[in-house]
This record gives sequence, C-alpha cells and structure tokens, in this order.
Amino acid sequence: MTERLVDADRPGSPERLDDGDEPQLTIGDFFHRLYQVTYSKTIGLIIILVLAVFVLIGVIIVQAPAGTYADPAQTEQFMSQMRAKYGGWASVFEALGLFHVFTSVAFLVVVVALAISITGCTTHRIPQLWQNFRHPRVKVSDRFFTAARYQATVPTGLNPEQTLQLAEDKLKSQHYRVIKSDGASLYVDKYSWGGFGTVAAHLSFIIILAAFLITGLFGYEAILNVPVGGDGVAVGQGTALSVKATSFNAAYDSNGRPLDYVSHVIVTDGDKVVAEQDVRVNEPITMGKWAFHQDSFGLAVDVAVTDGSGASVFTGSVPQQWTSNDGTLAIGRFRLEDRGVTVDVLAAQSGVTNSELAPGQVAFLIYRDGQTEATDMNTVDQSETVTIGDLDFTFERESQYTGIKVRTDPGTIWMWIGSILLVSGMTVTFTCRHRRVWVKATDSALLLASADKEDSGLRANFDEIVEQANRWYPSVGRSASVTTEADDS
Amino acid sequence: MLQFAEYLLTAALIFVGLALVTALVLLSSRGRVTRAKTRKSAVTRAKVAVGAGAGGGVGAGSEVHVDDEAVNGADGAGVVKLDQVETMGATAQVVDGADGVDGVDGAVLDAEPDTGSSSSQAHAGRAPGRSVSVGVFSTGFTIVALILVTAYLGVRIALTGHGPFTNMHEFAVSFAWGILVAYLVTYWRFKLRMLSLVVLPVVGSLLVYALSIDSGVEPLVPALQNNLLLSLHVGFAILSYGAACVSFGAAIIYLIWPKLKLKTPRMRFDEVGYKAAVVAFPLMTAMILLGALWANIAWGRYWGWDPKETAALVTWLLYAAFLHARVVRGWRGTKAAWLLVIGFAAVIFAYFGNYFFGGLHSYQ
Repeated sequence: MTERLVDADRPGSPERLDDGDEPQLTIGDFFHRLYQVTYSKTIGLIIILVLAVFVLIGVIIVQAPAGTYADPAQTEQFMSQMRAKYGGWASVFEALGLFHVFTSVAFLVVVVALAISITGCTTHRIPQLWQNFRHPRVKVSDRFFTAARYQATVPTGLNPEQTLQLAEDKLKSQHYRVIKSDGASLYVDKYSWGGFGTVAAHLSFIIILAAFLITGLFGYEAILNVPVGGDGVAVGQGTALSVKATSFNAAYDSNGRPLDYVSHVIVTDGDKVVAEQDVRVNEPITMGKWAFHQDSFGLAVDVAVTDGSGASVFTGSVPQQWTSNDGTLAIGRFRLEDRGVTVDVLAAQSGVTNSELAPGQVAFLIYRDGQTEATDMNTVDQSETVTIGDLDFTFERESQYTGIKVRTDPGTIWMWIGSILLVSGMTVTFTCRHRRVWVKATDSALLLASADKEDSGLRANFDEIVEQANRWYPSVGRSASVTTEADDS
Repeated sequence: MLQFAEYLLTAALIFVGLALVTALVLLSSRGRVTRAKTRKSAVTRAKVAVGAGAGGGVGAGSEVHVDDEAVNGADGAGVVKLDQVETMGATAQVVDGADGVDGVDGAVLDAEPDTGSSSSQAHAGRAPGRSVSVGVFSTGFTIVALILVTAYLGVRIALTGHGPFTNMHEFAVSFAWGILVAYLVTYWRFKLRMLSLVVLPVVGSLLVYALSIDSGVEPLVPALQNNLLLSLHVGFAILSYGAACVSFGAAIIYLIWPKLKLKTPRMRFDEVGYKAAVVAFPLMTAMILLGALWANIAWGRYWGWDPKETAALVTWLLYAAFLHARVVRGWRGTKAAWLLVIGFAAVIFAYFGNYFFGGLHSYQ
C-alpha cells in the first residue's frame, strides 16, 4: 500500500491514472464520446435489427385498432377476443405492450435512437465525402502501383511527358476528373459526388420519420357517418365544411364479391358547394388540404323524437356502426344533449336469424348521464311510436349511411419529399459509385492502379480503362499486363 | 381460353424441371469428371516423366503446362505428345484466366461432363464440342419456361384487362416470372449457372402452388381498381422479390460451396448475392413507397401498420441491415450469406402473409 502511494506520487506513474478511481473527462471529451456512439456503425446496425424485431412482432401479434385503449369497453372487448386467440398468453402480451407495439414507448425509443444514429453517421461522414470530392488524395507512393488491389502496366514506347499528356487527354474526353499530382503522375476519378447519394438517402429517412411525427401531431382524420339522402354532417375543426351524401351504391358479383362502393358526395362550405363527385375507394375528393375518402357503409335507422308537447327534440338517421359481442345486433347511438340522455338504437344484424329482435324492429335503450346501465328500454316496429319517460320515439324507416373519412395531414407532403430523396439518393449511391485511378508514367510505360473495394463492376471499369489505354499507344503493339487481387485468389 | 392458357403454365413447369435436371446432371457429372481428371492427371504425369526421360529436354515448367492440359480434360488417351508441349503454355494460361475470374465457370461446368475429351478444346476456344450444348440446353429450357410463363401472363392480361397481380394465383405466377427474369439477367451478366440449383426449385414450387389453387378470373375488388398503381406497386414487388431470390440462391450456393466442389471461387457467389441484393433493395424501396402513395389515395393514409405493409418493412429493414453490414462493417462470406437467407425468408413470409395476417391486403 505504501509502495503504491509512493508510486502514485511520482509524475508519470501509471497509478496516477487511478486517482479517484475514474478517468478524467472534460465536458468536451464527454460529448465527443457521445458523438462517437451516435456514429458507431455497429450500434446503428444493432438498432436496425432491433427495429426489425419490433416490426416483426407487430406483424405476428394482432395489433389493437387505433383508439381501442382510449375506451375501456373497447379494450375489454378487444382483450376478450385476444384471450380467445392466445389463451393465457394474452395477459402476458398485454403486460408487455405487444398489442400496441407501434405506439409503445420502447418502439418510439428505438425509432428515435435510429434517427439519432442516422444523423450521427451522416454528419460524421460528410467531411470525409467532402474531402474526397474537393481534395482527394492525389499522391501515392511508387510502391502503390505494385501493391494496389487493381494494377496494370501499359507499354507505351513514349517518354513520360508524352505518355502522361496522352492519358490525360483521353481520360478527360471520357469525362474523368483529372488532377496532376506531379510531373509524372495523375489522379483521375469519376462520380466523386456519388457518395453524397448516401447522405441524401439517410437524410430522407430522417425526413420520413419527421413526416410520421408531423402526421401524428398535426394530422386530423375522422370517419363521418353520413346518412344517405339526409342532412349534411359538419367536418368541424374550425371550418364551415359539411359533407352530404345523396346516394350510395354497393355492387357485387354473383359470388358476393364486391365490385364497387360509390357515394355521391357534396361538400359545402357554409352554403356554398365547394366539391361534388362520386367518391370511390380509389377516387377521393381532394380539396385544398382536405381529402374525403370512401371508408365504410352500413344500415341506419331514421328516428324522430318529440317531447310531450309534440315539439321535435331529434330527427335524424342513426348509423348502425357497431356490433354486439355476440354478433347478432347492430348498434347505433345518438345524444340528446339538452336532456342529458344518450340513446342506443338496436336492430337485428343483417343476415342473422337468431337475433333477439325481428327484422323491421328496433329497440331504444336510454342512458341518463351519470348512469352506467340503461334506465329504460322499449321495442318498436317500423313507423310506430313508443313513449319512454317523457319522450316519444318513432322508428320511421331503415336507411343507409356511408362512412366518409375526412382527413387533413401536413405530414404527407414531407413523406413524398422524403420518398423522392430516398429514391434519388439510392439511385445515385448504387449507380454512380466513385471510381478512382492513379496513373504514373515511366520511361516506356503507363502504370495504373486503384485501391477500390473488390467488386466486379469496379474491376470491369478498371479493366476497361486498361484496355483503352492499350489502344492509346498502338505503335507499341503489345498488351498490358493486368493484375488484380482476384486473379491471385 | 383460360384452360388452354393453363397448359402453358404446365409446360413452363415441365421446362423448369428439365432445366433443373440438366443443372443437376451437370453438377453430378462434375464430381465424376473431377475424379476422372485426378486419375488422368496421374497418368499424364507418369507419361510426361517417361517422355522427359527419353527426350531429355522437357523442363519442369513445361511439365506443369502439360499437367494442366490433362487436368482440364485430356483427350481420350490421356496422352500429350511431347512436340505439343511447347505450345501448350498459352492454352493453359487461358484456362486459368477463364476459370472463375471471368465468370465462365458455368461454361466450364457444362463443358466437362458430357465429353471429357472435348473440354480442353472448349476451354481453348477451339471447336465447341457436344458437351457445350448440354449447358446451352439448361439455359434454353429456362428461357422457354420464361417465354411460356410470359405468354400465360399475357393471356390473363388480355382476358382481365389489368395486370396479373390480383389474387394469389396470379401473384405466384408473376413472382415466378420475376425470379426467372432476375435469374436469366444474372446468368447473362455473371454466367453462374449453378444458381439455378436453388432458384429453379423456388420457381417450380411457385408454379406448382399456382396450379394447385383457384385460377379463375375474378373482377377487381374496389381497393385494387387503380390499374397504374396496381401495375407499378406489384410490378416492383415482383422484380424486387425476383432479385431477392437470386441473392438467396447465391447465398445458399456460397454456404454449401465446399460440398459442391465448384471451380468458381466461393467469393464469386458472395459478390453475386450482394449485387442481387443491391438491385432488390431499391426496387423494394420503390414498391413500398408506391404502396404508400396508393394507400394514401385508396385508404386515406400513407402508412397504417397493416400487417402486409409491415412485413414488407421488416424485409426492407433486413436488406438495409445486410447492405449496411456489408458496406460499413465489411460483412462478407458466411455472415452475409445468412443475412440474405433470412432476408428471403422475410420475402416469403410477407408474400404468404395473406393467409394468416388478415388486414387490408387480404386478397386471396
């Protein structure tokens, strides 16, 4: 112990590094180390693979529809389905958040880590690419011409100046960038900017992730269940837009296979009609930042509600947009705000024979605010009226509704910008690879060498230059000797 | 008409089988010829040694050339005359240069088994013997299969008025078409016929599968009624998956290369696997982006984590991982080959996902 202390006091002694049992890091060092982590290719690769695993889980395990977890009733309904499918594992999956992988915190952390990694890698690479682009290494040692992966000697029969001049002229005519390194050597390359394709491709990924973020934060979408032939449904969101459907048609072939779903939709802004067309699955209305898509359709129940004096409380078409757990009932809902009442309208599910309700019959269930169970219920046939509490409910007729998805998404444009950049970057990366050749003239020969990676494309390019160089000096009448590492192997 | 067209598909399957059998015969013959060559080589060495003794002037270098010539398929007698020795050096060098480096190993393989006596002539670029045509038959069968599959798809397009991508039958046939195209382009570029040992069974399996399921012509469901994007989106998928299958084939051959005793350098298959992945990846990217574009029109969102689009993303991520591992980490050889195998497994997973994913891509 004493000896150690003595040693520690000696300047330059290794033990001094153990002072405080931790290495001394400045703030700058710390951030530099952090930066190193962000551009670590290994970490980047691991993140990609982890993301792939997450996505794979999301494919294999059923994912809860959007909004399920916001409603306890929907959550319970979803979980009962999952328990039937996965048995005891359903609770385990639920606890691990595997039913909503893509909205889980862990997934978001991985995505953010990937974004940071891509940014770090790209930032780290840019100076190197710029260096290759603007200030490539033009001088190499003589030994390089005999040790490089690709190398060739072309007999010329000319003096070095003539040999080099001819090579320079010919290579320039083939759109090579030619830089003289000294009196007897050249550096030539093509597509020195090709590496920036990877920058574009990586940047595009960040933009695409940002597009997802923008969509999540600022996008809006809702399904408007629009009664066919009924009143318009307001879009809301601070607009005076309203959507009205004058017709809906679903066509099927003889086997029941769907052929077409089409709604004739009118969009009004206040009293002014701003768009009108047949909306199909592949033919939405796009109007400025808004889009209207054909989403769904179904039966509706036309209902009229009056109070004891006969004054109208509600008149409208109630879309039967939900299904009971046993699948026998279609359920619609409307709200009488002034009365503090929510009304469920139940009807037999189309095609179901064992429903509690007969075709042409509906049931009204009344939920008063603050009550979790229905306080009143009554069944009524078409065109008949039933009194529940102090209100008269009339089942006027069955009708249809069409589900129109209304959407505005400022992230979409960034998605397309990112996509174009991604494709462009990839195209440049894979088709415009940087090709470099160092050239040296000797007394009667032209030496060519390249240190590019082993690749048949690059090798073919090098061989082509050598073959051409043979033709530049025809008077010699001898072929070049070409050596590549591949030959040796 | 459709029933008649299906004969085309059956015929295509037969030709795929013939091409595969030819490739297998070539491979098995190669082993036999290699053993025969070893025996002949020993015989030739003995004869040259005798000749050297008698003539008293043949150097070691010449002996090596003679040996090379013999190894590459000496004539029937397995004897090389001493007066030919001086001129054989160049021939032997051509053989060495051609073997693998220029990717003509397929031709070498094809040349060897049928008539061993003529293979040296084929190598030296003299008169091509019967043996060469065996290899030509293998490629020819594959080309005929492609023509037949193309004709079948053409008939379906004529009957339906849209691209043949709307049900599993059509997509299976199109997938097979994409693989055949990718394989033949790769063969034209790299001359690696041994890839067919892996690629053609995949094609055959897809055709058998396509013939075993409902092939009726059905109208497009509303979501698919966009001819341009249907053709582009699925067209890119087919080409991408075809290239992925070739990269898978190259990876498998790379992995079992020691057992096959091929002349082609092992790394050649590593490189072809990489090149095919480099083609598959941008095509896959285009497929996904076009799918996003279409989803934005048809379903009102560019991405919805639908199981099939998510499976495509998994596949894309795996190929991205492969390319990054290779380019930035220098992954080559076995590790890279396994990544390509996993990548193609993901392709198959995404392809057959319709059966167990559900979701908006459930067009069966």
